Amino acid sequence: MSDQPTPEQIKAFQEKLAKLSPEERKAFFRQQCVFCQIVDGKIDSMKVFEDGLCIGVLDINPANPGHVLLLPKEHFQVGPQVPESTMRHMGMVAKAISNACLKVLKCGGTTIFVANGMPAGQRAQHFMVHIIPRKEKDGHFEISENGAVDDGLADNLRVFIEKKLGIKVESTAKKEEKNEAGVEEPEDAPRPVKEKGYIYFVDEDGDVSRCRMVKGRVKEKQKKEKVLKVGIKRQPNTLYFVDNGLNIRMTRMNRSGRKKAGKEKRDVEKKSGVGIDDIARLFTK
Amino acid sequence: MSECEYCGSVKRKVFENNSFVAFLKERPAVAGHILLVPKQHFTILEQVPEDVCGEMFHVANILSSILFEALGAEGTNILINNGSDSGQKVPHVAVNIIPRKEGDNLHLEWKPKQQDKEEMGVVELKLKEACKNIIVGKKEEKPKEIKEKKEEIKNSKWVEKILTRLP
Repeated sequence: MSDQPTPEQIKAFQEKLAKLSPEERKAFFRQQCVFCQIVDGKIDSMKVFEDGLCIGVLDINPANPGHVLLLPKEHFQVGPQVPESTMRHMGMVAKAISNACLKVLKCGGTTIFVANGMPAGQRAQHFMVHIIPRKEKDGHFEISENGAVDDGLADNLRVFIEKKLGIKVESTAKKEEKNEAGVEEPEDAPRPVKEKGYIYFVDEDGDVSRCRMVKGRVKEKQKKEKVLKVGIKRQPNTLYFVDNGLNIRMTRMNRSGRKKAGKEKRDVEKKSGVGIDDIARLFTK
Repeated sequence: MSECEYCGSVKRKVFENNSFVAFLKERPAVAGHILLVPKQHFTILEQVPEDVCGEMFHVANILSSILFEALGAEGTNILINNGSDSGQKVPHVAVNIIPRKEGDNLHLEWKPKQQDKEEMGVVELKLKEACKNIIVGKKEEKPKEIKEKKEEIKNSKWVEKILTRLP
């Protein structure tokens, strides 16, 4: 990458390209592209997946262990060139590989990433989908939130997309106007706050109830009072509690200590699907 | 369960069809940052059915192509953060489509990690094993179809279990 071609070289190259017929051009790119050679098997790679349309290999400079590149077998430079059927197919495969990463690599999430064009960070001349197993706070892909918000842009873009695709998208701006002119929608009722002198708990219906405490204890015949209707389904072996924001939280209670090796093994065998604990961890935050 | 941010009506809508809505993100990385979300509620990508997932990629690709023309973008990123460890903040599957320009100060790259060959080999074997049974699309043989369905049922059961366990 260190020696950049001079402008003359680029010009000469472009002229040379223009002379080639489409087939020749295709063959030329195929010869030049490292990833096409990987697809053809001319360069060694760590292949993890292959079918008729695409191939998955491990990245040699991975962001995290298990970083998979999903490549279409045909040569495309950027996403817009990829035909619909291939794109759909790759989407399904990407999901399946992401699923496999979650299952096998004990990661708490995946990122699926596509870069089209140099400014987007594309470095190879071959369209690819990155599937990257993620660990907490690994510092990759932090999407900043500092961009300008522009309501006018949405309308312009909507009109553009409508024209381009020949469809009609209902504007949300109109709805808002109606709301302003007519009846205002009631705002969300403010959530009750935890008050002092009460103990909050999750009752049998899965709602939040509270009970008055006297001298740090709950008297036996105190009335229970419902505060929030949530209606969660309670599961056995789980401890539910109410946090300061009146959200219901839960932890799993584990009666069998981890020391029992036999028990643990059995548990592992039960997990036939994606690592349930992994997924559960995704949700409970 | 608290109401999902993306399931209700969205502001700044730019695209809609039967199964997807796309809108400008409330706190965008750059102007024109689009989120594409399925209308049906899925928390993570693993719950999204195969055909919907394929369609999602297709629509994302179309929108990203349009961004080149509409906003004069020099590049686009399509990014799905899946799971809280990857920085997913809203529990609803969403595809980020970000128009890029030279020098826009977005850093969506990663620092490559050096890995031993041995370690890579282990990961390769593990993934290879796990990816062996991936069969995508309609061209499936019948017995395999049944197998896959069974797996799906299993999967949906644990998904339900986890979801009902949540407040």
